[in-house]
Amino acid sequence: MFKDSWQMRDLEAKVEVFYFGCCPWSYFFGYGGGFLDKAWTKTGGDYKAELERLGVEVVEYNMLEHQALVEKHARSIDPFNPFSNYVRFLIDDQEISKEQFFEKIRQLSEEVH
Amino acid sequence: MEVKIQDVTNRNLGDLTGLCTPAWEDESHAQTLKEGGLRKRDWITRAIQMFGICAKVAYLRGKPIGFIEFYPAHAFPLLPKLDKTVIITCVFIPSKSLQGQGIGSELVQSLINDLRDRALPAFSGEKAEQIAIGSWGCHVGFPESLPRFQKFFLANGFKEDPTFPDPTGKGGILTFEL
Repeated sequence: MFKDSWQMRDLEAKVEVFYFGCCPWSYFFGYGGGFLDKAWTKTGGDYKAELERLGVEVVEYNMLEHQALVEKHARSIDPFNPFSNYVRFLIDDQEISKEQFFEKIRQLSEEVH
Repeated sequence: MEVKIQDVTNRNLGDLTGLCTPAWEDESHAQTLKEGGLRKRDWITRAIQMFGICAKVAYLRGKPIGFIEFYPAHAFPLLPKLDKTVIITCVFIPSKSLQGQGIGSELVQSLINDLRDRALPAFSGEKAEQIAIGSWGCHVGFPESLPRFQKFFLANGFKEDPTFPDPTGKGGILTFEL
């Protein structure tokens, strides 16, 4: 239902998760791990499924295999720390803050209802 | 306590990933953590092909009890293309009852001895000249581990190296010249 709503509005909501492929915890923290959006999940386990249910495109990048993208978009990560991760929130290819992103999609979800 | 250390290959890859992720049937852990384990398995398979070696596992009576993981410096984003440098990403002994018994040091020494003799595909068939470790776990969430981290690696012959490239600016990089 939500996915159709996005498509009808020609809005593209996308989340890019940058993680270290050598560390499962980096991936976990990238998807929340209780930190990203506590209102949605405490574990991170439901977060990914929730994004997909809402029709948000989710793209994952192993930072050990996408150095150029890290250089361009995720310079705040710590290359020495395998827990390090970075998440980009995009609406129509424009990066916005996590808070703005969730506010936007919740707002649209409410409008649909 | 007789610990045996083996290189990680496609044959014992599951022993490595099993040490840092919960079992699938463990419902108390998040799905994404277990999925992270699958991503790690995929990555290690590719890393073995690309670099020749990227981890070692310690076994006690045939059971995996700890590991050391490492990659050529050129695999890391944001770092200058350092030649013939290996960066350790993790040394981990999950069981608290086995920590502090020298297993981590055995893993580090095994890596040092191995790299002194081994030509690496990652360096076009030449040997590594330096091992480095950044501030694993210390900059994000576990600052209390920094003194232990430093003590452990200093005891294993590493030295503080303020000249080592550090895009974080946080310091704490230790190196070992092979």
